[in-house]
Amino acid sequence: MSVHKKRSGIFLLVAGIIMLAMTIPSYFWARNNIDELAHWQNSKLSPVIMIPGSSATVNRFDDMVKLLNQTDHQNHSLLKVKVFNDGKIKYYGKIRSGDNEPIIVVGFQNNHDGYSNILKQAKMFNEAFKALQEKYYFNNYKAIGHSNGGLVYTAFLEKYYKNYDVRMTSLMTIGSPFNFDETNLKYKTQMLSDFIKARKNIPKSLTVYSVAGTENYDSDGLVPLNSVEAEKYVYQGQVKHYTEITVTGVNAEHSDLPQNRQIVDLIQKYILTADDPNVNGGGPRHQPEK
Amino acid sequence: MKLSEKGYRLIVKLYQLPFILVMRRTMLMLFPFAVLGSIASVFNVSILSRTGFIGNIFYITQWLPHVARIRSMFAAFSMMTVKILAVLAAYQAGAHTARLYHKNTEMTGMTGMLAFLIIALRPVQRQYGPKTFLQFNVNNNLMGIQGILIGILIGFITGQIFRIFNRKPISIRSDAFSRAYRTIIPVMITLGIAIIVNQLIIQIYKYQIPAGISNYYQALSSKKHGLVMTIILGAWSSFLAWLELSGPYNQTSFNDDPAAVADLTYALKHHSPWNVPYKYTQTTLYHSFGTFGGVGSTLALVIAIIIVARTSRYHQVARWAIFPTLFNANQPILLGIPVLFNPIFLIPFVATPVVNMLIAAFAIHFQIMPPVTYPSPLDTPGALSAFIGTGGNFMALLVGILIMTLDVLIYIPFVKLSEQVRNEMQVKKQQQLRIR
Repeated sequence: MSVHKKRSGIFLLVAGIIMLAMTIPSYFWARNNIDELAHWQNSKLSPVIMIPGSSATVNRFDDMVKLLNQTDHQNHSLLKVKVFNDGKIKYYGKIRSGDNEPIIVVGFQNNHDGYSNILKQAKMFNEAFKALQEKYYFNNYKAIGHSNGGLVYTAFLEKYYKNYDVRMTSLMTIGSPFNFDETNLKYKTQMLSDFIKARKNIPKSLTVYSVAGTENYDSDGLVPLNSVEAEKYVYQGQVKHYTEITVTGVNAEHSDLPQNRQIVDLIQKYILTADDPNVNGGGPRHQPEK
Repeated sequence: MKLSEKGYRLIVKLYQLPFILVMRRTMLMLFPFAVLGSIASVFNVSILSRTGFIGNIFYITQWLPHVARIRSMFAAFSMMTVKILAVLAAYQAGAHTARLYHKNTEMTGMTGMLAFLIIALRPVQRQYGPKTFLQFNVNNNLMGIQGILIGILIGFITGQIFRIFNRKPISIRSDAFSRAYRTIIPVMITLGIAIIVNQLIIQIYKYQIPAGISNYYQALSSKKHGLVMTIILGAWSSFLAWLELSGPYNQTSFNDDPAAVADLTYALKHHSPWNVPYKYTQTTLYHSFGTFGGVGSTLALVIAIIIVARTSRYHQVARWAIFPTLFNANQPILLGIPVLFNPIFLIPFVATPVVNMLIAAFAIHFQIMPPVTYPSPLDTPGALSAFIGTGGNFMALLVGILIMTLDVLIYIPFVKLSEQVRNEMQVKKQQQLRIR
């Protein structure tokens, strides 16, 4: 018996020495790993945050999300966030655990048109964004703004964006009237000239897609094509890529745009990232094998 | 620790039930495969892979030539041993049951193994162009040690079928053919039942019942819990692991724990792991402190055996098991003692993780160490995983060592008790032999 004990004791000693010997390299590996992770700092959670246009509610994108889920089978969860005038924030729906690309719609009680309202809405969006950030800790997101939503995003980018360490990777504006009802680009509204003045605040790494719908050759029935195209004065040259896309045909009327098949395809292609763990980097795993 | 006379008699009686007898023998017979396979698995995962612990800290994949080929050899070895333990268990359980009733052992074992494989089959429809093919896959979740209970059960039932239908006594002189001939009926019945069971299981899968259960578990484990719930789920997972069943916290990877991902993002952003939002989660407590040497803190059991065990068998098991257990491959110790399904070891198996998690929570609460926030490589040895996960915090290492010591102390009385029961059983057996 004692022979066994002695032999086992040697094994235990060797195991202890192995452990001890591994502590030091472990330490350096751990420090090194944190640096690498900090570089990588690519949280898997990358939501798509949408802002509807004026007079629309948080339910504005329901049909679009349904269409998106039908096409890519990723089953994006839908969280709706409503910001009230008194600053209160209400949540409808939730983000399914494990969903890395949820869709978040931020709507406002004050959903009126006009420059002053857009500035108010940008402020309200800032509050909602802060709350979302504190709740979910994502470090990058994609943005879609329909109609005035695109203007709210622009105001947010110029005024509040730099307060966060959270990257907007791409922005798609859909039928956003950057020059309101003005058909002639010569006449710039107060808003457009303010946007142009502050364009230096817009992040250089951003990719912007400007989608316009047209019923005839110059309007989507509500917003003049020239007003949508005025967006280029704000973004072009400031951001990494600025792409203009014009959609015509069925469902190209201003308020139909979010349900437009072509636009849903564009979102699929340009805004959503494939939910493939190999593409997203995966990172070290804990203990998947047994 | 002394067992009351009543408890002792209960355990002895339990051990003499045919099923328990078969189960224990089967597990012991699987020990060689478990130990060699898990050592190969340590080489495959921890040492030679890019994501493994030793592979990472010594950058092995960068300087070792032909690393992929060497690794694939170890992978093959572990694949065909430790990863198909349940199949081997079905053979062993069948053979042992047949031996109990003096039936044809090899044929029973083989039939049991085939029955198991049939039950584990899962047809997958694949479409290549216009044609559909029916491809048969095996259910991987069943093949390894996770399926061992089912394997033993199938082997045992096969043995019972042979007991009933393989009636004619085998005389030593009967030739091979007549021995084989007598097994046609039980083989037919066993495999027939297996095919029907397989069909039933496929139906169950069609209704997504297993997926539903695993989704439920996933939802449960991925919620951001408080301390109490984390400890309850940790204890529940350990208990299920004692039965080799999957619990809510078993086999969850770092990335599947939203709380861990949120913590990591927070820590990276603030360049410190101290004030992360979720401090008491499966990652910070259970995976980092509740599973030293695999589920049930089995590394502590190995050490406890080396320190106090008197029987040579326990020492032999511990010596072989210590290396793989260091890297959280605890199959050898679970089968070699055996610990699985063993009522004596149930208490420490569940209690140690709970105690560990409580101590870790205490240390986190009083800011002795930060919570584990950073992911560690695959199969990092227990205490070092907490060390790495806190970004190399030496207090975390100390807490880990303290917990380890405590676990050994918890396991020691149970090792002694187990030996005592074993010795007395052997004395009884010898007495019975003498009486005969």
